[in-house]
Amino acid sequence: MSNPSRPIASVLLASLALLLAACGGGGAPEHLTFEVTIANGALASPHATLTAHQGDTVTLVVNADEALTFHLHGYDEEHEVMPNMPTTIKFVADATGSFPFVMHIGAHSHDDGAGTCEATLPAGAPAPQLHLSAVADAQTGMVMASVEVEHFVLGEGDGSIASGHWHLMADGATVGMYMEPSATVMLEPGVHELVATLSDDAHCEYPVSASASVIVGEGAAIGEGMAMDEQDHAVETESEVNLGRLDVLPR
Amino acid sequence: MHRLFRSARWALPLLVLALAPLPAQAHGFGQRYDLPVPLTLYLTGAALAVALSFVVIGLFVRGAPSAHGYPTVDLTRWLPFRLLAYPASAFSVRVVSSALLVLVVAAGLVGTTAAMGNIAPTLVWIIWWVGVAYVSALVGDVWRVLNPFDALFRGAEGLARQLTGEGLSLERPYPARLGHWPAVALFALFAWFELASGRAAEPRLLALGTLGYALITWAGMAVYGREAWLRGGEAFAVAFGVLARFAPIEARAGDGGRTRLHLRPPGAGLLAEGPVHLSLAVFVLLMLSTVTYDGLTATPLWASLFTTLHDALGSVSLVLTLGMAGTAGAFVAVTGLTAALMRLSARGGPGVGLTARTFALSLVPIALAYHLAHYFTYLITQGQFIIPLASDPFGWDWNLLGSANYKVNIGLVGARFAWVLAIVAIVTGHVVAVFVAHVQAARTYPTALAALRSQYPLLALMVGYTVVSLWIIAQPIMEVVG
Repeated sequence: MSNPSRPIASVLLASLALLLAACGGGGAPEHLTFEVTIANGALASPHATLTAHQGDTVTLVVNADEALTFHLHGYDEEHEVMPNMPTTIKFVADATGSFPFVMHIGAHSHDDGAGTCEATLPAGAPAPQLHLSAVADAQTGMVMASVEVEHFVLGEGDGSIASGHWHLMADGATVGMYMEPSATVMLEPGVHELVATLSDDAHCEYPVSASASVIVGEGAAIGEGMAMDEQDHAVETESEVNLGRLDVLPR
Repeated sequence: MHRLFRSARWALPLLVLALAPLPAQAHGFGQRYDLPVPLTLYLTGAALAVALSFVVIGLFVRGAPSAHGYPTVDLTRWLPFRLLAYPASAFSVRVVSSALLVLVVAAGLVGTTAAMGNIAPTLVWIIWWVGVAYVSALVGDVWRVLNPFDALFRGAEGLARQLTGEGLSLERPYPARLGHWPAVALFALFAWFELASGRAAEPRLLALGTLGYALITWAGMAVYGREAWLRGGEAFAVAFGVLARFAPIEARAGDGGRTRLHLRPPGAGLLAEGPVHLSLAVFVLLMLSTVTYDGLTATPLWASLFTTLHDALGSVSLVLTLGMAGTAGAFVAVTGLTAALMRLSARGGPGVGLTARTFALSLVPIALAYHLAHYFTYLITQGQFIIPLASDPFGWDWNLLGSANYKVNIGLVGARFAWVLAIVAIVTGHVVAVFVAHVQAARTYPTALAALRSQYPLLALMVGYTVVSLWIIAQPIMEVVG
């Protein structure tokens, strides 16, 4: 068996050399910026496959219309994204491969951490003030909650006064977090105690909160119970939605 | 809080979630980061496969090599190998692997239900299923020693003999017509769980499946005896055994019951016998088809086919099951057709069934090479998760070995290295397959000319199979479906 396999081995070796020669490359590392826009639970920006070369510095600017966790697998860049607030993720693409990026919706990791840390005010800044009002639509069961803030900027501040977003809780459970002053949520019929708090970008809370009560009428439509239960289940079992991939090609 | 979460803002994303393909892992579990092989490399590989096929044919035109026997070197001459062959080393390996089996079941049952936080999915799908397949093919039949199902039964039987003087097995004669069919059925079930159930990464199910399989194995051994069940019914003994026929090391019984390890030419074990039992031929085809199907499910072609089928049928698992069964059916059909064409081309020789059974094993190197190419980066990258998991197997925030915070290094293997390795592996596998088939033909057909002519259809099949393997690794990864 060893005799006839010798020419095969030499052809294989020759082809290996050919293969290595075929993989060309070169060029200097670049700075690349990609916009990733997420709307209605899916990728809204045109390119699902982003391409970089090994050694490039990659900046991802993630925009979303709801709060979610953005996760680039492999490089393991995991970031909380606030609605309508661009989140910038910057790293050096030093490993080659095709890395999926996904969003996690549902059980946000920061829900557990909310309120466990305290936000620090910028030096000399006044303490923020917060007022909450809520109205329920009797037909739909939709509750519109609005906040008014003082000494606080919803969004990115200039560092002179406190800034960040607000959290809304209903009967002690987090409902969502928002950058806009109003939010619409759907609640079951009954009386609900709403509480709003102010947080910085790291979800650390400022020592201020406001509360309001709201009554949702019996006639309110609250969606199909069964379907909702299944969806709740999906939320609990940490669901991922595939958005696209980042291909890092060898240079 | 979830009761109150029934707000409108969840409805839309969840609707999308329900309709859009979920990101998931057809291959049991874990993420793949492979870049598609560039077109030039893919074409180079395909051209090489075709060109080298003719080189192999050319060698045979000048005269077939001796078909029987192959050179071996007794490795047990050297101390390290002699130590390996000692019964005590096998015993300690069995103790460790039995402990790992217990760990998989325990972690799966009581550990965290998060797939990445529990050691069971990583240990089973990456370390064991992919890892042991690698070692079986590249080193030797390690499962024969590692097999914890066998080890525990062996231990229990030894104990029973000490206490009662009798073994645990009824030692009923294993019915010859059963052949390897129980292994075929169990492997099909296993492959379905891995590739089509969509739930292979769930620790609880994995533990229950493992436990169920252990019970079936022990029942089989209790009725027919250990050896008989390992040959006919233990799906993994058969699967790893098939892969290990390619391996360069074989174990042989030496003088005085001592195991001796022999070095042999790679692939020589595939020539060890003539036609195999029909059930083994089917087993081999099933195994090959699942490897190819796993690759196919990550291609854009499958993604679009999946969407169409899913719209029509509504069930993810049903679509995956159909895909898996379809691929297996295609393998059987193409092999049958090739066997018929071989008979035509050789103008005689064995019948279609016998031809298929004679040459089924010669396809193994192609599947093996593709398997090595397909899983290499996956094994090297995802396999590292075993390091943190070893410190925290249950996902309970333990840090037994101090490695719980290990971060996976995704840069261990560069794409270019992985590409070249993949092409070289697939082309080499192809050449070995063509070689093995020719030697098999030389001993099957009465004349050299008939042997040569019989090989044209088989060569076409092999080139086609190799090109499909190359095509899959040249596709961008697109994982759909849970």
